[in-house]
Amino acid sequence: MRVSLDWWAVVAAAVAIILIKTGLIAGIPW
Amino acid sequence: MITETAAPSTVTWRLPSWAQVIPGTLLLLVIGLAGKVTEQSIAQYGRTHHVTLPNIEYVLWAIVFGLVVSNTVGVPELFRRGVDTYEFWLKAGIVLLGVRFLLGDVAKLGGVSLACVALELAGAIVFMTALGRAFGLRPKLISLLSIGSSICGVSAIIAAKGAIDADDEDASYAMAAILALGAVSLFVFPLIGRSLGMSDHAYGLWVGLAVDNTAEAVAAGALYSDPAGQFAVLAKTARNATIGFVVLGYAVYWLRQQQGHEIGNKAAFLWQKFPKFVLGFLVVSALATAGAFTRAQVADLANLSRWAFLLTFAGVGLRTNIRDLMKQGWRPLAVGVLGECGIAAVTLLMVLGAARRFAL
Repeated sequence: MRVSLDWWAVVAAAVAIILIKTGLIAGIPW
Repeated sequence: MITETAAPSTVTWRLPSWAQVIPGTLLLLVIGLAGKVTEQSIAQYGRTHHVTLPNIEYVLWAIVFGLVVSNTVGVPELFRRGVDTYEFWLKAGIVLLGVRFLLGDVAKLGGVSLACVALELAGAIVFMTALGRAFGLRPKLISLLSIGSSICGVSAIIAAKGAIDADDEDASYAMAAILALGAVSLFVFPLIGRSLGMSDHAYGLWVGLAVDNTAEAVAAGALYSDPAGQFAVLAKTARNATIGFVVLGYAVYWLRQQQGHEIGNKAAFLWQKFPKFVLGFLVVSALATAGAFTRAQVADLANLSRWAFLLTFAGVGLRTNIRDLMKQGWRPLAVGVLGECGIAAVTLLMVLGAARRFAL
């Protein structure tokens, strides 16, 4: 089954949230 | 789609599939960073020399730099796969942006924006259909322009193209008109907003209703102010959420005309066309409302969404080819210009009225 771009975007955001929530990534600058 | 006709690739096919996006993504990053550095340099120059300079945000610089590259040297084939990821960054950025929206705020905007969205949807479809017929455009091109101007630009046109079995040429025409007007809106909307002294809320709502393509709506909002950008995303998201219903309506209409695909399961069709990143945005917003994130985590996620948008805006400039836009002919563009100006004017009056009534 082909995963749509929408789902890839949701998955990528979820991974980022998990990484930040668990403290593995912190202090992202802007 | 507004991309140049590509010569057969001699480079990218040698790279593994996952690696083909790297060069273009790096190009997005370089152009986006150039925009960010330009904004900061101008601000720094103004502070150092005690001069008041207009605050032109990285958003516009990234788009302008992208436009210059794509319309002078062009985007080599090697970079195209990566440049096309701009839509991925846009959607991921919007999901992450949910962290800055507490559901209470969404609900607060919801009542007014939903009414405005419903009015905009119905009005835009009727207006564009009438204009298209008056200018003698092809029926499916009229459908595509109506869908593009009422919902969400390119995504809606792509979804509708498959659903109503429209020609590539019609889809290109419709997308060219929507993209050209989206680019113009980046320059014109902030000027109008400032001249009318619109609040961040009112301006963001107007942009979310009147600018058709999501990337340009986010950019036009962010150009005004950060909060205006957030309201623009909210209003635009509300419009995007209707994509499945409107495309379904058009698909059924064209099915009755016996020119479209057969629709077996309408619920499955709706789910297929529904923009899933809107769900992601709502889930993240719900988590933030429930207090799942610390203040530092909210700041990190918000900054990450800004980086995603930085890549998006560079991509918006890079994929716009001015020569291709000129080749599309004057009539679809005339319908697009007249239609979009009419929709922008009516939604502006609607928002100004709502702003007075509800103190937006």
